[in-house]
Amino acid sequence: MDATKSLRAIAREVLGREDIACLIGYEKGSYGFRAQPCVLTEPDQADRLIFSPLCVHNLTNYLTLEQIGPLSKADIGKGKIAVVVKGCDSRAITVLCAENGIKRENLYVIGVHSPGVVDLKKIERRFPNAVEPAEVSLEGDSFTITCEGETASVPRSELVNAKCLRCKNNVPQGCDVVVEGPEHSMEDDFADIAALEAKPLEERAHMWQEQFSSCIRCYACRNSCPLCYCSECILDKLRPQFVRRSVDFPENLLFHSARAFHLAGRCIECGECERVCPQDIPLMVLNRKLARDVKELFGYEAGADPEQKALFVTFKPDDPNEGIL
Amino acid sequence: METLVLHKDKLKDFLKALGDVRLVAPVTVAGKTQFCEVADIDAVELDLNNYTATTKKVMFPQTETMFAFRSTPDGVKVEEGGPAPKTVVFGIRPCDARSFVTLDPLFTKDFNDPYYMKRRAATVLIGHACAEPTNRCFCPSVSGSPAGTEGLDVLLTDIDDGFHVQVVTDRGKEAISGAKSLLTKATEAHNKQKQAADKASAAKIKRSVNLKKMHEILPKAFGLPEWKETGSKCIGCGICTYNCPTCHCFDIQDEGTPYQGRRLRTWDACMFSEFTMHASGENPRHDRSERLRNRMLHKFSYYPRNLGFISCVGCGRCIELCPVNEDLIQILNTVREVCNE
Repeated sequence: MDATKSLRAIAREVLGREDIACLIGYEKGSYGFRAQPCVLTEPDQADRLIFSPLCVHNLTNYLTLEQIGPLSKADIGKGKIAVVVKGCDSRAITVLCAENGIKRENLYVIGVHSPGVVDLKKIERRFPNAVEPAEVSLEGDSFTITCEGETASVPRSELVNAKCLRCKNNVPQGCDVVVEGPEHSMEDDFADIAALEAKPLEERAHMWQEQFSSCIRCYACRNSCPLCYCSECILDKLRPQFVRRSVDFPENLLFHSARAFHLAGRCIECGECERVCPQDIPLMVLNRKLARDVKELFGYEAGADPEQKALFVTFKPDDPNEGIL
Repeated sequence: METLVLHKDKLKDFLKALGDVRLVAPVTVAGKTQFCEVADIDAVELDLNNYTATTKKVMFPQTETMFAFRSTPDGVKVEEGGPAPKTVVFGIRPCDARSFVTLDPLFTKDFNDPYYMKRRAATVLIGHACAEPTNRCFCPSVSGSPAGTEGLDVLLTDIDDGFHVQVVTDRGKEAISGAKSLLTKATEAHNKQKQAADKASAAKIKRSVNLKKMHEILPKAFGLPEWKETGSKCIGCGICTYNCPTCHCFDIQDEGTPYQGRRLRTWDACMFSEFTMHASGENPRHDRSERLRNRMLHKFSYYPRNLGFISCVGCGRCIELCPVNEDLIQILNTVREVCNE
């Protein structure tokens, strides 16, 4: 049975339960290679659900947005929210629970063993004219792509999202129910970060100056991040105004530095910020640099272990550094 | 107006012949095509297949100083921005050029906005017809065309060996007058090639939306539960508005100290949670779905009723760039279907 069929069967059962308020999953998109998030409330909507390599979004983001789906503010908390997660997405729930961002008992987590999702920018460049909804599935080491009446087979490595090529574990953690499939886990040697660090300072400074100057401050990176959920973001604050509204290199640098540092020891590398950026700024380089530093300095990996506390609320009496206290 | 031909080897000479103007054209910056002020003519490229950069900022910069002030022993000195430099935008798409036509009444109707108008008056638009419209394009649905001339001063179209040059306005004629020696008169054969190119590109546009009476249907659809469902997947970022050539909301801010600083305006986005936030903390558009509905109604109902134009040129950037596949075509089709119109 494929993942879509299994998911639909689970959803029918879950949406019929009294203690479930809604289910956040994926459905067919409006054109080409797009799939889209959807919020379902009734069992007879279950057949809208899909799961395929086009399901790129991290749906746990919706758990921390200020209003969840068709639920009104008053409805939130009256029933559990069911959510479909891939391995990487599930680690966001781990972090959210560890830092009391959400209560696990308010969720019903449906995990899927994802064999890897596509890089939408790459697949749309390869098949630029897809208007009719296209189908993508993974067979062996290749994506089978049916688009505008033609079927093609493309090696997985050419179109898969970069994050999937270094996926630590595609088995979702802490789920209530799991749609099983092939499991895989890979070592991440942070070679990309080491390669960037080996470049001269001037070259890196120039690269970030160019990248951050092109930022248009649409805040899609912030809003697509499941772990950016402060009820009042410092970027929006007017009194005091920490970051000015003018869009230029110094303010953009401040914005991106603030965002990256607030995710140190928390980012679970779902890559949503980089995926959604309309200016193609390589934001995951910043996040991964900090993730690598956190791993080296504290032996800590965000979301790796459901039992571990949040990095910044832990201390060790035998800590060799003085700290700030 | 006349029709001319420019050989493709003469393109760079043509750009040089535009004279002493600020040239804004597509160049690659940080691996991405952007419309920027061009210092090196060799960097200009017309292969725009993957470009999403909007040219809105040429007339309406994302951050614009309205005036600067400083305290001196002789009192407060206020400096206003200077005149707009003479500018030529080269390679602009017909949809983007048309966006300025739809923005003009907004910036002139009740009040002549000096910041927008000074740039508009100093800027000549030399367009490049779309040979390869993308899978997000739907300009014919909003009365546009991949070879449309509305808003343009000159339109270039790819033909064998080079470009068909259609002079649209007197300003366009004057702007390219320095390049006269590089241009030859278009023959009947050239004009036929141009017509064939226009027809071929129009045939490549696959997406469409029926907008008949949409400005009347949308207000009737205001209370539909479908908004809640469609809008619930919106994440409230500014991608759709900031990349839209016709979105025009802005914020006014003061920066600096009481002794020295500036007043500026910056783009704002109706999808942001603080966009309509009152000082009390109350927000009349609390939910993301209410904000999304407002954006649709503004573009396809309020704006056409108040200013006579649909506030959309069918470029499809909001559709392509939306992180969660909010699709304006799908939304409007659903509204029509549910309202049985």
